[in-house]
Amino acid sequence: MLRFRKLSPIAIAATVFVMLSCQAAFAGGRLLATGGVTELEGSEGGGIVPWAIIAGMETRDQVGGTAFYTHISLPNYDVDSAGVAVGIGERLELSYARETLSISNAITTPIVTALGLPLGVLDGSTISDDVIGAKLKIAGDAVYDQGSLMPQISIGAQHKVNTDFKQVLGVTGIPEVLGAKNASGTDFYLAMTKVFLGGAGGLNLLLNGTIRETEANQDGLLGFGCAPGACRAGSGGGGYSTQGEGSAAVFLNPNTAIGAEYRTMPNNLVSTQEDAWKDLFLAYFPNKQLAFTLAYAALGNFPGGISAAGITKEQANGLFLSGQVSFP
Amino acid sequence: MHTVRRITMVLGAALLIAVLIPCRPAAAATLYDQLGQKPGITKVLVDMVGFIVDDGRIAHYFAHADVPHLEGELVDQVCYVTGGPCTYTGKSMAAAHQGMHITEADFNALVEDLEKSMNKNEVPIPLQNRLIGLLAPLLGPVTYK
Repeated sequence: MLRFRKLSPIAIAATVFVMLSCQAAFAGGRLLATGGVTELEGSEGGGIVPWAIIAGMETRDQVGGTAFYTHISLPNYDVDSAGVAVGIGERLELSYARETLSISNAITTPIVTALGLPLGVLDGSTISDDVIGAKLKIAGDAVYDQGSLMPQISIGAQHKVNTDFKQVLGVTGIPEVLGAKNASGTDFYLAMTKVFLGGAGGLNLLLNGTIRETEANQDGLLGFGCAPGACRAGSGGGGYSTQGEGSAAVFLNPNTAIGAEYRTMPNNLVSTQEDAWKDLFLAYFPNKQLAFTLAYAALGNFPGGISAAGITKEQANGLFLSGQVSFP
Repeated sequence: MHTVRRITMVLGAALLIAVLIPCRPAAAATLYDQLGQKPGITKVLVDMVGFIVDDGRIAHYFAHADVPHLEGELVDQVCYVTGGPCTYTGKSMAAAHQGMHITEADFNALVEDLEKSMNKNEVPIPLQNRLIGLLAPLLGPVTYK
């Protein structure tokens, strides 16, 4: 948490700088809002689901990109994510994001006490994932293929490295304590996105469906897979499982969209139940370079604490705020 | 309790479907009619051409254009694609733009000038979306020729 507080003024300053430098100096070749926003893992998409759209405001003969910052405020957790993406010719997207889960002492102190560890050893705990992503558009065009049902189709991968799987000083990290097997993993996905111009009673409608192969626990924030003996019955031993994700959005006007997302999760670990992630969002595009997202996110259960029966559940519902700068 | 919940869910789903499915008026007015037929379409396209010739991104394509002729062809074409009683007699889109090397960014600049003109003429957003939806597939035939 401390680390994040030190970082945030720099992140804000950098964002403001990029915002100012983008004002009117460049004009994206793409139409307003057709670059979407950035999802938590750094890929172009909605708030929590990667879409088939390629990041940036570039067209096929340009290079573009995005920078984003997302904060989710949950009762005893915060999720922060920041990253950048490059879009090459509206065909290939390369992205990097760092996601951080900050855990309140209200969660960690009872665990420390129960395990007999020195008091305060887990104060201000954070768990981070570095996510390197690549996405390739393979067919269709979400916006221009009107009059047919053909969506834009992209395939992508997200390689995630949990940098707090094992903590320093030989103390086992939280993901490992919860029974996760690996500190890194790679998600593979296929995304289909279609915009129906005038498709919702005259308003523009966006539909997205994504199929993901993943081993990640809570997006990788709680590691990957499950160690022998730590797997939930029916989880298939914590290997790759197929998850489904969907987004729907309606543009109330050219600058404003409302929508909802749903994303299923593997639920590998017996120690802590993992549920589908959901959100309801409002996205505002004041111009081609900026996008702001306000959402209510319901991320299911996170570990709540420790009791005689094991780890308790914590409802992870809260406010989701995100900002994105796009170029050219 | 269960029945109440089920009814609520069904009503909710019905409401959602009602919101998402476009309304179909009994006497289906064409987009051509809704845009104010030929006079309405002409106003929008004449204003659009006015914005285009002032648009530094794409004005050079129209430097030697016969503007009244271009406006006439555009009106006929939009009248035709929106269901109006017109026939487009000009060249095919691909042939008309052969050798012009129009990029996707140029195409989008023209769409933005059209949006500007539709806003100026107070065309409602749903009609704007439908017209752009009809013109969007022209990207392929018009660009990179």
